Amino acid sequence: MKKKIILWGVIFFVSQFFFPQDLDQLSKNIASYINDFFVDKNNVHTSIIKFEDFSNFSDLMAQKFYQLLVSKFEASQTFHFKDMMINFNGNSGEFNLNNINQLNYFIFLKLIRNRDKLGAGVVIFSKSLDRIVGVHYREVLLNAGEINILNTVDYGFQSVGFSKIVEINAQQDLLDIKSIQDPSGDFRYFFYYPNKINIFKHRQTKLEKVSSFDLNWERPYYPVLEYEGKLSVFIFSGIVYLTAGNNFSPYCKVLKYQDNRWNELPALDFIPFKLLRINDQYYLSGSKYEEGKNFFKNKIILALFDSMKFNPKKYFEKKVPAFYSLAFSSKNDQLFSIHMIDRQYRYRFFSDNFEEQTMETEKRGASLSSTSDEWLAVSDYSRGSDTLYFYKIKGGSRHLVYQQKVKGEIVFISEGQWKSFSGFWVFVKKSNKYGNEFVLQFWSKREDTERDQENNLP
Amino acid sequence: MGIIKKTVIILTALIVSFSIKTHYGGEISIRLNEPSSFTYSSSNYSNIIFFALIHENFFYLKSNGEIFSNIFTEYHYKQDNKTLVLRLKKNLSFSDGSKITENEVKVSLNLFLNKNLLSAKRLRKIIKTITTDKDTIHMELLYDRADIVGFLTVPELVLLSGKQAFSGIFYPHEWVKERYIILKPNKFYPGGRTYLDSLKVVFGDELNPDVFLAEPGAFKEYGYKEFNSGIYQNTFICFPKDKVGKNTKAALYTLLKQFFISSGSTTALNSLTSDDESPITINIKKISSWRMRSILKYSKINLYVFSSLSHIEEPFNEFLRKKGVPLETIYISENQLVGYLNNTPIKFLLLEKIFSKRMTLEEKIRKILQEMIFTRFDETYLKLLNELTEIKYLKNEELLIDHVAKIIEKIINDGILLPLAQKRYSLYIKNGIQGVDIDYYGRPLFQRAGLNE
Repeated sequence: MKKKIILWGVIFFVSQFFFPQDLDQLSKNIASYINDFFVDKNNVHTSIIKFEDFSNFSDLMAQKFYQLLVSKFEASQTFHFKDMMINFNGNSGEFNLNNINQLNYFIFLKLIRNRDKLGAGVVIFSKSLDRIVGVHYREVLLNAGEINILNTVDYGFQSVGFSKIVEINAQQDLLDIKSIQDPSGDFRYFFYYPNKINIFKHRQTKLEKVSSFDLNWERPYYPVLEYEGKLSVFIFSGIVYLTAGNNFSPYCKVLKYQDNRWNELPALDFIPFKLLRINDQYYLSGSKYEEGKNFFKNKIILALFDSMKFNPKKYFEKKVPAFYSLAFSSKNDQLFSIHMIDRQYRYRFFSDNFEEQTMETEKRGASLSSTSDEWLAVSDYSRGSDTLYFYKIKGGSRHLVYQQKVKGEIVFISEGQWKSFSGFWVFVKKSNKYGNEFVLQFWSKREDTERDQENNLP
Repeated sequence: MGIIKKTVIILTALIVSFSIKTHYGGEISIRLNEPSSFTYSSSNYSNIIFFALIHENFFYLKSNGEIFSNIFTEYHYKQDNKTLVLRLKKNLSFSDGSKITENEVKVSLNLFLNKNLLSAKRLRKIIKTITTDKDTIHMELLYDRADIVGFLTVPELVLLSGKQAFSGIFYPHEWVKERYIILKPNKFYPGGRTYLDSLKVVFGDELNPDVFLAEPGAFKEYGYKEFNSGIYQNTFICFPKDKVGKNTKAALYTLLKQFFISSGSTTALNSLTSDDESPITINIKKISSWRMRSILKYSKINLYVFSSLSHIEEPFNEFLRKKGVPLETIYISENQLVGYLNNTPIKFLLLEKIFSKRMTLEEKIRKILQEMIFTRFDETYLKLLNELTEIKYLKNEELLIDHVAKIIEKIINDGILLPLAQKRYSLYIKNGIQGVDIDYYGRPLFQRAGLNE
């Protein structure tokens, strides 16, 4: 028995040793060809826009190969590479081709299997010449152990992935949480409850209440069985704005922090999620809840933002499916992509021009959120215990990288900061024999937190 | 733990979840008797279920004894000045969006107190004054009753609007007479909007409704959950005037008994409450069919019938035609009854009343005396009623039973009320429908009812 264990251990070790080497070798070879091809060309903007897998290995293996390949282009000085893949399903990749006009070379990638060998072919197409300008093919030998390893489910390494940094006991009716950095560099945390907002700052590992104000809702008022709400806090021209909307009032409160006090501005008839810059104009972007229900209507609303002088005629509406959760992925207010969980719990992906790119067949939970063009966190379609899925979404792409089990059920996910760490607030309901307990967790990526700590940036 | 309690706990656990949200949408159908109007009436079990859908109760009493309200944010009894203080929730509206104020609460309470119901009469005896100020109702009592809120849990005490608006979970959207009523969710419902998109109340022989009433044990094996409602519904023939001949009474009794027994949906009732608990079995002598016919032919009987029994109109007319008995039937609502009694010489009244199995025999008899004796309630009955109260406090079961028997005997001997038939109910709910709670009064509450996605 002991011998068997040792033997398997050796096989595992050997396969671990060879697996990255051979697959990596193949990706290195392909990357090297592409790099050499562009080395004497100027201002090259390229991307893989088609990826097919005929190897009969799993989709997972194809994704691994793709990630190994793409990681070699990210730091390239020779050309500008844009990762546009958003999904890999059924032996082929799905790509966000919204910005295809910005490319002057297209790359087609194919994986095939030749007995025990894995082959990768690459075709380069020039847009200006309208013809294929480069073809390359390479094979590597894979043994049975490597094949097993390639078909093993493994979303990255948890030790460098997202981890729970803090957990706080919370009230059951917490609707949302947001945070901003004040001029002195301290963080302020806004906790949104149905009838009030509490503002906290952190003192060591705890939160300390700074102030609180009531939200006096007026009629029409739609009593609900389940409270839902969304908070947004942003700074524009040095002034802090706060909006608070929900499923029990058709109006969204808007407040402005001035002269050391919160002043209420005229209410909005939709709920802003985020301030976005589109074509050099600022828009408050959001939606409306179905009155009294737990989901949003089938539209995204964009209201021209001019220091809160709203003109209803300048509202734009984009039709989308009714949804439970939506996140605008943006950096420096510029929109990159839109992520959504619809009422059938399907994940849907929209490009920055609101064109739908892909829809997952596998169901997800009702909560998602994204940090600024970096990470997307999504809950699981499950009851009792939950899972957080972390996708890398940089530049309009989307790849599942990490997943972490969560004890309890996720109520909402909201992007935010904890001290200098950026990540996600996750509000979780935990059931035990005494009833329900609600906790607020903060999840951040170790690599990011280390970088943040070094740079002292939120 | 009772099956109802167990089911409710499981259903609630399924509904209160987050990662998979509660599904909003879908329609549930429920088979009930067609109401005559949307004006509150509680004469039968079907009605108390129907009106609980569109009119909101002041308070609810759960089957476990817990009391809750969707209208009041706070209620407390002040012992020092014997006053119950009810504070309205903020921002409440009726189904049309009009504001719910303390005035609507006061008016609704007064309407209830003026009803010919045992529960209303009891409360009338306790309340001294009802006053209001902003969002608050003060109910000053004549004497100390710390359990006053319990009196306000009765199904008949509902919040009414002066206009055609509703305070309940749903509001009527479409009524196709003799077929169905579509109810839509009241988005202003004080207890929180229901998960359903609509609730269809069907009448007659609609096939496969999701929820329906039927005799206990009948549909257990057909994909339905059975809930024992704890309710039975009795039909009586009442003679509010004493100038009715014995032969006419016997003839009418024979005719109606034949009809109800032949209908197949009821069982014969030989007591005023229930045969298995009554200390007295009532044996009314029936007469032969030819004699009954000849008596009724020349009696010129106008039979007033509670509109809650309007579903029998067609089969009853057919029955009368076959029997060759000329009988005029006039259907009136329960609310019109007092007016009719004052202005019309009603001699024959066919009515039904519901009783909860949980009520004690003494309570049931009290209900009969208070709600069904009408103008024939005289000082002798008042004396009997007072004696009943006194004996109740003696806590002597034997004495109490004797006194109840005495009252029943008097009612029968005076020829005021004769029992005809009884219906017992179970509530059947299709598997897959979640979150239906059953209250103390046997009503299914649909606030949290939902369908799987």
